[in-house]
Amino acid sequence: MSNGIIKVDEVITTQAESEIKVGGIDSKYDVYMLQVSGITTVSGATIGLTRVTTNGTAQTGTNYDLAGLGLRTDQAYTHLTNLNYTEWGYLGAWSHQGSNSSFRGNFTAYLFNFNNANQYSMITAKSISRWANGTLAPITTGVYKVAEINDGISYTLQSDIQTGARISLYGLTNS
Amino acid sequence: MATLEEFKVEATQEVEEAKPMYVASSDGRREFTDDEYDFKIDDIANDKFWQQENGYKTARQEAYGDLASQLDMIYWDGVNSTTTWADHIAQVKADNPKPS
Repeated sequence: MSNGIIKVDEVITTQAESEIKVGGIDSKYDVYMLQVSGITTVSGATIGLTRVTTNGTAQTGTNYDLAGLGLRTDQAYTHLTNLNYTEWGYLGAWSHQGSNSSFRGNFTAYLFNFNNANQYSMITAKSISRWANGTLAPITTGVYKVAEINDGISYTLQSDIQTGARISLYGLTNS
Repeated sequence: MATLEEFKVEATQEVEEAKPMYVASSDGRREFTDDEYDFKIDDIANDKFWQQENGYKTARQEAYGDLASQLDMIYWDGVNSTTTWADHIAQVKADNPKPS
């Protein structure tokens, strides 16, 4: 019996990027964990856009549902409800962050059923980011409503992802 | 009110100005393919359209303030026979009109 988490793939940005992809999801593990850290942007209103990939290509159809709760320090929580969107939003970055290096966003997510051709892929995530008015901490769940094998994750922002972001994919070993 | 197609034209211009755009993976760094540029244009255009159609909801939600503050307003309106809360809500709605 072996236990632990095994790194499957990782990308660390060394310059501005418009998209980061990690892959390698297969039948080896039942559940995968995604760790994204150091998310910041150049400027502009920003929401993190997370998509599944098939054969390494981000899937952009209107098949993404998301339900969550946006915990925040500046006011009461916000309900997050997206139906038939082209991505899962709100992860790692929720609102304007700008180039303030102290505002970097982070999230950890668990990925379920990605390698199952007969079930929808699912994600649960806890996220933390910062904007000018306070802290934003969405707790989200998402479903990609296509029964197909997905082999990875694509992450983009509405502006570029800056140097120092890290996206890592781990397999949770079966025992 | 702009159409989605009009936003796509605007988004296309923005992407053209931002080129080249890159995707990073553990295989290295490469420029977007034509399909990925098209996806990016759709992303931007869809967001602009959503903001136009629904942005007022988010703006109102932000401007209403937290529930405790609103309840406090309602309480003092009852005590003082004022309309502070209703005036506040009306002002927020006026400042963030629903698109017609």
